[in-house]
Amino acid sequence: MDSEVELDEIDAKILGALIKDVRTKLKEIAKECGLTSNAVFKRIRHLKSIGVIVGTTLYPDAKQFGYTNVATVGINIDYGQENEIIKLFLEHAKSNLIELSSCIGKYDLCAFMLTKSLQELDSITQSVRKHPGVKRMVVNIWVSEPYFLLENLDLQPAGV
Amino acid sequence: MDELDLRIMKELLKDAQTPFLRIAKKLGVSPETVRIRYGKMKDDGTIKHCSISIDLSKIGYQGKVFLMITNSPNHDKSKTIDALKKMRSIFIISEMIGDFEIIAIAPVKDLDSLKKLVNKIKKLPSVNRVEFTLINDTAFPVNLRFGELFL
Repeated sequence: MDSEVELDEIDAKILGALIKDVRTKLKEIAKECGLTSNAVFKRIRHLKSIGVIVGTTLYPDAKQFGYTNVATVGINIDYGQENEIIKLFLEHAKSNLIELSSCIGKYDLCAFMLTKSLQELDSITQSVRKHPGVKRMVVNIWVSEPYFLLENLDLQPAGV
Repeated sequence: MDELDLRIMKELLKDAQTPFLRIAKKLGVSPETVRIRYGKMKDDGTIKHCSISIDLSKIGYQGKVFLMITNSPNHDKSKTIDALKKMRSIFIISEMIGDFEIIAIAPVKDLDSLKKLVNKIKKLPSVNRVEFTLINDTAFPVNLRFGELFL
């Protein structure tokens, strides 16, 4: 595993505020933590330098970009074929993939995709399914707007 | 969302912390306009979430788990969802159609904590079955490349 960092309560507060809204003003975070803005700034810089903070994520209303469906695709693969299947996905769904990861459990590979129509989803899954290394493929379509409960993340899982 | 909203959004998709002043200069409008447009897009849900991205492996997690939940017949699905929302660590929940009815995503610290979470969900009277799959990706909330889909 990567080198771990023990976050203290103040780090957790800062990250919590930035998870809620990445544009939260330093001054506000500082007030919350009882620190100066400069001290908060230094902590954020440190969290970036050690690789805890890796960037920002803006999640737009995908519908306004024409993406009407979110789907999860679970795939079971013949041993040793994973890289081939990943390549196929990247080829056919480059502008659709939110995530593509190898898994342990029910599936060997999981893909998270946005598609502009069910036809598009079907054409992607069909293209991947054609590969002889695919043993089974399960497509699940998200029917509701997902609930984002990012504040739920426990930033000190080890407990302090 | 008009053309200007879209252009502001695209700048923020690349880096959500870009100062409004810089965006304003680039697009040839006032920083106040950018600020107002951003506020409006957040209020009306055009921008759903604006978060920092974290590498979960750095703070003590080994991966993420996709929990695939089937509701008990005769039980309200919303009851399950309400209960899941209250569970600390689950950070995305959605209703689905397909093999199962609800998906929930949570970070995984170790097998013990995973077992506890799965058991907690199984205990809900409105839950019939819980299956899961573990992924070793530790990007939170989603992969960093996510924004590129909209550029």
